[in-house]
Amino acid sequence: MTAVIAFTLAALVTFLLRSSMTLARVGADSTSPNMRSLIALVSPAVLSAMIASALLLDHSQVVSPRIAETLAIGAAMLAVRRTGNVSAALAIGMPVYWLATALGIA
Amino acid sequence: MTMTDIAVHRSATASGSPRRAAIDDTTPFALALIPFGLAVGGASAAAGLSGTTALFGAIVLLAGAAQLAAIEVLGSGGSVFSAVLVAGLVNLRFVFYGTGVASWFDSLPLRRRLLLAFPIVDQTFMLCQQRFEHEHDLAWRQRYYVSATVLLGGTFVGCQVIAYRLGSTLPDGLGLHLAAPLTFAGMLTTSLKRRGDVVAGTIAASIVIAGSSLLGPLGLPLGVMAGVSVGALTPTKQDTSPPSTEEATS
Repeated sequence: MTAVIAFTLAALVTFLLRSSMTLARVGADSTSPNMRSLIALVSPAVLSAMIASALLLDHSQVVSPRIAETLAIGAAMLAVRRTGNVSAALAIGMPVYWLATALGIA
Repeated sequence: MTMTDIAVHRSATASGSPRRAAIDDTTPFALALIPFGLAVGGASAAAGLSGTTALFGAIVLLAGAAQLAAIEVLGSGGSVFSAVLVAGLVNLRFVFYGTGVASWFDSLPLRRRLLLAFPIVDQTFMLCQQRFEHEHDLAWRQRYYVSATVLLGGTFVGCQVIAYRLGSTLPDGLGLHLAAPLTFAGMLTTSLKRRGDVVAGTIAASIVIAGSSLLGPLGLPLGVMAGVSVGALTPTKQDTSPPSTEEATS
């Protein structure tokens, strides 16, 4: 029951976040170029922060990056950069991780 | 117009059908969601959630990272408040994504716009932001958006159900915990188009790590806000976008 309440409240908060700009009547006419530039910067900022958290944090404590995971992330980014295809991240990154782990590169 | 933009525009012009275009554009993202969905489903099972509760969470939240964060908080004995706070902070970026929805569908009735705002996620925001730059027909946009949402959401929720059923039979050696960061890395690579993007990402990541013990869950939104602010002040002449698949092979 606790989880259901948590998910319900989290979903409500999330919907308010998603719909806040609609409710605030922010439309194409009122979205300035500056605002659009700011919006475009959100994705790289959020994604970088989440990747860094996954690699370098363990329960809010900074840890040394695991080599196999770092190699996998690096290989994934290189693959996507060369192909322009996002699915290459997993197609390349996971095998690199498995290989590195199998070779004992922790 | 970047190389990726050109490829998207070329594809849109060639296909015509919004559903076809949505399937073409979304399939790589949907494939990338499979291991992430498996990871979230496995985490639900490991946290002791019932199948119904796990499915409920997946559908009403429709936000994998926040769902995973909430599951981890609940699984480690955290309070409802903590789980909701963490989910809200992780999803704070949806305010900015909501601006996209408000702009793309600004002439629709409010109720319809609110319905369309409900399922916006990272992938649909980024896909639509590129697509709708060239496609202004409202009906086309709606069909594209809904098709992409159904494909992504269906894949993600379906994979969670499968992983939940498999439960602990999924071996740790699969490295499913890495699926999310790898997916994010792929998305990040395609979103790094200007110098400001790189600066925003670097600043945000640095603050999240450097301030982890001090800021806790507030590190993410504060880091993002700082990254976006500094990135906006950075000159954006340099285009660092990767070549598209079409251009790389042609």
